[in-house]
Amino acid sequence: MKNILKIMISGALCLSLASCSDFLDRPVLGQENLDTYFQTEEECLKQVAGCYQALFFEDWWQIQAPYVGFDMATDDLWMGNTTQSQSDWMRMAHYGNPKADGPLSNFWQYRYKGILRCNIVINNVPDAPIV
Amino acid sequence: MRKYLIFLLLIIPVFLAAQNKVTITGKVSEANGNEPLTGVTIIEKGGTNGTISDIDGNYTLSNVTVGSTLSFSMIGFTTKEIKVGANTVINVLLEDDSKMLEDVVVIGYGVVKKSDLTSSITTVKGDDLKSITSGNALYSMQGKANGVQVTGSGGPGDNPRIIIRGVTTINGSDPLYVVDGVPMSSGTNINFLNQNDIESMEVLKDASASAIYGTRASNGVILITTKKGSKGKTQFQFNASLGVQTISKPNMANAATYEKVFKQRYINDGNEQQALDNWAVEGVSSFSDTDWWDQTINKAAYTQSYNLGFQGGSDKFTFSGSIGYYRQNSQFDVGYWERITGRFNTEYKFNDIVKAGIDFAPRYENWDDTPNLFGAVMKMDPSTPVYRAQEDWSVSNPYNNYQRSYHNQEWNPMGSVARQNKHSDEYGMIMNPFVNIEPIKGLIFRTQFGVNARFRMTDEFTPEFYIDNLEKNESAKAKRNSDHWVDWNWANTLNYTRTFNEKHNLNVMAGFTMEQFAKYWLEGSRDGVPSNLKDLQYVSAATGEQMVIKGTNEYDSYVSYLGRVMYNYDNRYYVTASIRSDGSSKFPAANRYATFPSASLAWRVSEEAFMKEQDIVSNLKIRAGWGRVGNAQISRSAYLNLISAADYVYNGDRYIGTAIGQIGNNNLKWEIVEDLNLGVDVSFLDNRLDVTADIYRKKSNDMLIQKENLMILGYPMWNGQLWTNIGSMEAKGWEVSLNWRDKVRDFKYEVGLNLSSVKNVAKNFGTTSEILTGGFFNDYIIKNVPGGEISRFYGYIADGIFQNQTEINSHTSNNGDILQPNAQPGDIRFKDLNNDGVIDANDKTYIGNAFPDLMVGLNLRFGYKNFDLVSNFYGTFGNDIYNSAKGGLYAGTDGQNVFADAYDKAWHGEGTSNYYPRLSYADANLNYRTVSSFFVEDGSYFRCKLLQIGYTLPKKFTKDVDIRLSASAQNLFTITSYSGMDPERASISATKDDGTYNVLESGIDNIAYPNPRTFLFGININF
Repeated sequence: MKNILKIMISGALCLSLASCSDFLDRPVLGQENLDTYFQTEEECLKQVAGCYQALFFEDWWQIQAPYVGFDMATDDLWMGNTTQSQSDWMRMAHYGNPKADGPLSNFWQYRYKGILRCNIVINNVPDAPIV
Repeated sequence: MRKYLIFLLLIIPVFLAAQNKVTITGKVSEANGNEPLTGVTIIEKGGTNGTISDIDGNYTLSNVTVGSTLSFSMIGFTTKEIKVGANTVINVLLEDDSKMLEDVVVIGYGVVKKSDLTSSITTVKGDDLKSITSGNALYSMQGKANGVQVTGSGGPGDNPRIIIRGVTTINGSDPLYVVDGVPMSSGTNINFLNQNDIESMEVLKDASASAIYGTRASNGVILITTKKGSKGKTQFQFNASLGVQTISKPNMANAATYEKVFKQRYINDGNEQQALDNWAVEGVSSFSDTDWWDQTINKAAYTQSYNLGFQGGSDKFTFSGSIGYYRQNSQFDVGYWERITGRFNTEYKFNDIVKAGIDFAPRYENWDDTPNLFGAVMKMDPSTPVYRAQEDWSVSNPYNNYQRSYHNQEWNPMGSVARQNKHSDEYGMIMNPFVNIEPIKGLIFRTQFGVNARFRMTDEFTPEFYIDNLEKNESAKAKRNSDHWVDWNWANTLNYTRTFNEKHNLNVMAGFTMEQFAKYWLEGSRDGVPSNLKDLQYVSAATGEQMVIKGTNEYDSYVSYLGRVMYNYDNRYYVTASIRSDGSSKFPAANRYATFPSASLAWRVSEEAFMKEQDIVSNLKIRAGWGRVGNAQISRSAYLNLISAADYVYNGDRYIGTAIGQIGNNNLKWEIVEDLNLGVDVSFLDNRLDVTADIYRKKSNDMLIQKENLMILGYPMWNGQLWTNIGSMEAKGWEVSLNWRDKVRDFKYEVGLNLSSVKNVAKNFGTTSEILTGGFFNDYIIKNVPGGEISRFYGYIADGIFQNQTEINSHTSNNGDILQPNAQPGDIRFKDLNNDGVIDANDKTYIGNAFPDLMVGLNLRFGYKNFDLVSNFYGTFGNDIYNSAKGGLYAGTDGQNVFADAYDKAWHGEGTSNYYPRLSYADANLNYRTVSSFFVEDGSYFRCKLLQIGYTLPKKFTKDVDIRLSASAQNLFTITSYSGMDPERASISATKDDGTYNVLESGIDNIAYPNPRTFLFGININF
């Protein structure tokens, strides 16, 4: 009952645009927002840990796979027989340097993502209200 | 003297009596146009005193008692009754009885007579939907509403894809559903509604009709109105229907043919020894011959539907209600969908001023998810038996007893069916109270509060089993999702209708609505459940380390102000204008609101004086409309910068970390679609032939797209994608409907033909030059580019087969370079379109279009005495399908099973085939791994959606009760040249995670659940 009354009253108030903005203000619940972050020492440390995670990220294909694959452009590794498609590595195995191919493109993309993470920490930690 | 006195005495009573009796004269005319009506019967009620109007519509009736009632009646007109008062001249206007014109059409926030419509709106009556038995009312609407493309998917509870008048956004094609004035949240599956409860469905096709719904109306609006009661004796309807569904079995190879194909692939590559080595299986001396389709897929799957409806009421109180049950089983041993619905709609008239009512609609649904195993069943190795040898059986875990495929990596379909274990229960309730206040005639205030609440619990259990190192699950996992949705909508409208000086008809409406859609959910899963016992299939029983626990609340809210003016002069010249201002919580504060105006005009030419002379055209209306509508189908957090988890492990210790997870665009605003519509409605030959034609153009601006950004920026989203308003799409099309109804003595017939066509063109994707979709072996099938139609296939042109080495050598560029040096006889020849001596990406071109050139719906209704026949047909022409599955089914790629004729059809010598390439394990020419016209087929089809014969038992046996028996076939036959299982299902794509279809990726056949053929027996009883 109380809820219905609340709705009716906010509805009546809504007829004046001003207080409608509260009703339409819906932050995402359950997830932290960058705009309100970096308030405690713990939060800053967590962001730093996130920067370290950007060294290899949480899976094999972003950074690790290209590192191994780059050796194919040398005579240390050959691309072998596999029933899976080889198109991802074909040009690299022929000593090319095609930036558009998946693994190379992933490598650069994720390195830049790591740089952004570090920049965020560098920009925000000095202003954080910590000792 | 005495004689005179007696005479006087006698005369006085006569005189007195004569004072009460009068002679009434007058003229009877037609209400529409004032034409005099000849032959109208005028009777003084309660007696036999009567007369008939003459050629000029004039009548004279004498000896009419003052205070009695005169009744004016004539066939084709509504009878009028007038009380005789002081006036002795009574002129009467009679209203046309013709159903067509008096029909009332539901529009946004109101109703309007069909003859007064100025926009493009199509009505489908509930009775027309009833002939098809289905759990989803939209499926029954297929082909009946022109301009609405309904494409069905066959699984139990599946939602069909709906496109109204073309595609102008990549962010979802679903229209807005409004049920009894309450808009549903986006992505709603309308199967929660009992089809038998529906009185009518109105499709608002152009913006001048849908702009009153502003937000989310850019894909069109479908208004659904449920049955209401009416005063009189309570009416009951009972409908029952029982059916059997079947799917045509494809002709797959048996074990012997499979073996030939399997070995030939190596032999053709010069590896005879490898063929024998790879075919042999250690420890197996004889192979089986399993028909996987017969084993896994049931010939018959049952469907049943029962419904009891009732309506009735008195002057003050009217009600309408129903109880219904529907169930559809899948063709597998697991998988079904069941729904029980109840409804009670009431309306109470307190007095002439206040009226109130409430609708209750509770429901309970439950289902077991249907496994999608049609592909696996067709690919599985027929030489593998269903079960492993009996001596190896496990007593404790029967899931281990299935045989691992001998010759490929497919998982045993019988095992997959046995393990399928995902069940959902959903309880829902819709409540819709309203109050209508009419303080003075013509001024109505209405407030309505609609609530749609539902609660769903889904339990999924993945059992522990071991069939092979590559076909196992080491740890049993239990998962539970608990989702509550509570949506409410509060709508207030003030409506004023008034006629000035008889000719000026005005209706003004102003409104204010508030709505909120909320989802409260919790998900928990954990592995390490100790066994597969039914009693332990719950998260609490799990003991493992892999735990996922998440849950939150999600809200979307809207505030809207709306207004509309409808004016017509003498029911001949019409003007309607509306405006709506919406605010949404999905956009940053600066851009929350957007305004959506619309205007439309109509001219009822048939009401003009010069049109009254002829009687060929009985109704002619020309209308034009323009409007703007909006679309907000993006994630609610698109404008926010959010943090995600990023834990780091160092020196064996785990450090909790966070990092930026999403960058938001705080300039986001609404996507706007603007459209223009021109239409004509004509009725000929006494309303026996109705023709409606429309032509339209819809264009979106500021379309919301996930635009890729430079990698240097390091945005956390894939390829730096950020929601941006920077796209544009356009849909242009036309629609023509013809309806002919007539009768010849005892034979009644009705024929309806709907033709429509639309072209969807992408105008602008911002700085993105193309959107590629439909992955196929490291390439993409579909390329969407600005300036081109969407969902077109882009690939190489397959130009026949090389029959011998000479042909390979002569396939050169102008300079004599051999284009395909690695090809062998039997491989596909690809065209070098730009003649540059190399076959590469520059030789690709558009090889097909997933969207049709023409869509046809044909609806027939015949009646002869007690028999009736209903038939609906639907078809699309000019659309192509990329049959990706065809490759494997003819090539045996990765050891999968093939069609029975694959061995014979494949090229095996000069002249044996110019279409199917040779079998090859290595496939060095990439015959089966290249996006080419080899896979593109004509997807045109014309399908008999329904053939139903009904017989109504003669009245002399059933007295007051109407009993009708019927036999029907749904999807009876299909005329198509497409080689796959179902051209209808293949023309739409797989569903995304949220259940919606991606229109940019249409027309790729990945063997999804086809639409089954269903045979039904039904009974309808009205009493």
